[in-house]
Amino acid sequence: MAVRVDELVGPDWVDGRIYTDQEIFELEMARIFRRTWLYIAHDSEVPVPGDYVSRDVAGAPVIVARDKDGGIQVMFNRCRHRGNLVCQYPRGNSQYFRCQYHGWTFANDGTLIGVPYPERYGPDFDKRALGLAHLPAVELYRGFIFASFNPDVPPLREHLGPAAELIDIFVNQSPVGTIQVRSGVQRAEYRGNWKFVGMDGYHSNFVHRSVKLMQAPRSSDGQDQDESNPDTNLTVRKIGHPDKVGNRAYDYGNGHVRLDSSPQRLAAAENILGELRASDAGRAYLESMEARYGPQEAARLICISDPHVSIFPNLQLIGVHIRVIEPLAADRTIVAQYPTTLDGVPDEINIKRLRRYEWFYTPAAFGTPDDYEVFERNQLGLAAQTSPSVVLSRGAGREQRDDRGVAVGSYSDEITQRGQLARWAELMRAGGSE
Amino acid sequence: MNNGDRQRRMVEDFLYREARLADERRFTEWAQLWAPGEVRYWAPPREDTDPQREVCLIYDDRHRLEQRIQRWTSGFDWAQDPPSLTRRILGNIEVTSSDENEVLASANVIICISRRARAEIVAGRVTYRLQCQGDDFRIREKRVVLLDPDAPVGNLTFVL
Repeated sequence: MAVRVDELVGPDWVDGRIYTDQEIFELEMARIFRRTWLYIAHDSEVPVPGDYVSRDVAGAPVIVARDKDGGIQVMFNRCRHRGNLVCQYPRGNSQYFRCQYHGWTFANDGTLIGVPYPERYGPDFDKRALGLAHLPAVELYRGFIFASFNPDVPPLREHLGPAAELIDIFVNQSPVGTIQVRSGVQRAEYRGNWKFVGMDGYHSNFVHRSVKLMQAPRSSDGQDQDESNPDTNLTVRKIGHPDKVGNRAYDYGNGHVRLDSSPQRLAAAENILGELRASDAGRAYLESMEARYGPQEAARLICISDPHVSIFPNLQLIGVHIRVIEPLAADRTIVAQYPTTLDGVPDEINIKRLRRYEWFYTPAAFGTPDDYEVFERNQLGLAAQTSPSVVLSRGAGREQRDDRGVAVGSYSDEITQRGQLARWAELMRAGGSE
Repeated sequence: MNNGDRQRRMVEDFLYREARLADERRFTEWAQLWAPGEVRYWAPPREDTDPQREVCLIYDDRHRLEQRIQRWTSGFDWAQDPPSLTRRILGNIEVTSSDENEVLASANVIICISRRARAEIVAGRVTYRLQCQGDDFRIREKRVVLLDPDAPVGNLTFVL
């Protein structure tokens, strides 16, 4: 079919085929993933010269290497001779990458430094033109390495816009303003479209019901002792309405969206800070944060703690972890999840971050597997194309603008989906370069 | 049978029972195989992982293990609705050390999974620290290390 974007996306609905159609998926790869900025890696993953990581970026094998001068190189993992992989491992340290097919050897900045028996190539053979190909645009923000397949992509800061402040909040959990992405990765695969990862404030009391029941304060009426009856538990425990505690949802533009539960947490600031003050490590952390940012800003950062932001199209910062969306096909997605640690804090603080992450987010944990399960069900349900449009009108027309012009709605509004899909449509419509 | 053979047979019987209760989702009985007091049920990425520095798939203490069982029996763990049907084979069982209080044993495990009629296989190495209790055991620690920590994984919300 010819893809007509305006028939697929309206202001508050989308056609279900944008999640199921493989032709639309191929177009997304060309018009979105190979055109705009993509998050690739974090510079703490390659701290010293020779360090590298290799990963798939929009279907292409890519190496991120720290060269001998300390620069970050983002290159295709593809020998310039016949196209063989030059790097076989997800991470390591090497001064060079050697293709084992015919022995061509590249320095870790991509320069071709060795070709066996070169004389038969003739006098016009120019090694300097045959280095590893680089992604044409690379920029860093707070250690986050972004790259683009598109040499004409606008500057990264313009792309991030006001959403950059969420990256700041994430990194400024550290009293020295830097983080480490060196605690491992978990790669979860589900049979569903990449756009389901989205950002949705409406689902949590339903998809995460089992977790809400673990967390919910027990009522004082004594009726909740019957553990064998989950329905009784549900009625007597307070699950809470997400919009009635002042939490908000934001559309920052360019497809970047955020769920903001900080109003609820700022209201509980005394408890949150009190819990920190109750341990030596917590006190040390709080004091170093106050020394760096001032008491008021330190309290704000600690209470917000979770940026819960989605940077279109492939990066999310959720709780303590970086989430990278790797679309494989219309109905297959990998989400790579990297928990982070903070520089300049007692070990106990970082250990707590890892344990907190493991509670909810791992492929064997109590929260995220239910999200991926629901995405798989969504993919299966959308196969019924009898009534093709998907409803995204919750809170539509009731958005407000904050003082920076950022659109804001209630936490459970579908403002986040509308924001992401408006950007999706904008990029999908534009056939030429951005 | 000498004492070593007898103990090895007892360990095998116990591990097979644990495997069967896990496969049959008999969570209440499975929970009773665990020792009282502090326990550790964990799934680090490698045998030599330092859990203070690296993330695990599972890192349960007693409280979190109880939460896990609560979730499995809550009726709201959608990732197990429908359940992952599993059958597992334990092999290469070795008792690596033992005294009158405690036995260390390790094995290879292959778990065959069927969910929504889709078949998957997960394999790994499992190590048990078992507390001796007469002719029986209780699990003090169970560690499961899957084959490839960099490979993408699907739904792992059943008993590993």
